[in-house]
Amino acid sequence: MRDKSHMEAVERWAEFVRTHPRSEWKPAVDALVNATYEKADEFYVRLKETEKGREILKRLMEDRISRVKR
Amino acid sequence: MERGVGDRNILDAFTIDFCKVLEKHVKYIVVSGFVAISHGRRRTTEDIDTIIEKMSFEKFKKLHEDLDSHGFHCIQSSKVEDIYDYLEKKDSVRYVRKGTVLPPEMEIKFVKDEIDEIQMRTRKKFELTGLDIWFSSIEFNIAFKEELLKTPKDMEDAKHLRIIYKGEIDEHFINEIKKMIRILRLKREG
Repeated sequence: MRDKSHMEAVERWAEFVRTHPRSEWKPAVDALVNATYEKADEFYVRLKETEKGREILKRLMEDRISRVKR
Repeated sequence: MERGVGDRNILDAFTIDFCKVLEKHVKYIVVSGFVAISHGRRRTTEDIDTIIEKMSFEKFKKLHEDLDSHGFHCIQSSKVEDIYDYLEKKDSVRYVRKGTVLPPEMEIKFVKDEIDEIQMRTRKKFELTGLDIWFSSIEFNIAFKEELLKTPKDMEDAKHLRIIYKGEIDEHFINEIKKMIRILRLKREG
């Protein structure tokens, strides 16, 4: 369970977005989204470099597919 | 493959590319997390939730082939008959960029009840997002997050949207949607 300060931070940021032009808040959102995906991609690339890593990657992919299948 | 370009982050680029293909074949709406994120919510997501109108197998096959030719594939199956079967049974199907089974992924469902039909009829494009994409209305997103989903993340999304659209939100409409959610989705008294 997140504490009250977390919601307060969400509210402060939303107020900033509401009162500032898109050009001021969009780069922060883009940086967070892109960095999350780029770090994950870097991790998957590192996994591909070793036998054990490739096994882990195979398991991750199999798990992902099995979770979305009935 | 370019992931995020200029003013477009990775999720924006993925969603724009996918919705350009969808638009040619079927009426659609993007709902839930990506609505909040494209309005500046500082978080990310692995899947973009999308609802499309029901369509015949023949029409869906054309959509699927078009998605395939634009570099998307379904991670549950490569057989269009199987994919259509998922949709017909009210399950979602998930498409990702070819060459991976990893996110971001587009989660697609057929319209399933009156709530979805109204969401589709009242769909909107939001200037603030800078995206030429159809979304379900702010009122629908708030109602679903506060009445049905209710996780901390969803409650924060709802709060974010409430602040962004302060003074513009139709509270009566939100309450009507919540009532429908209780009856049709939660099977409770309105």
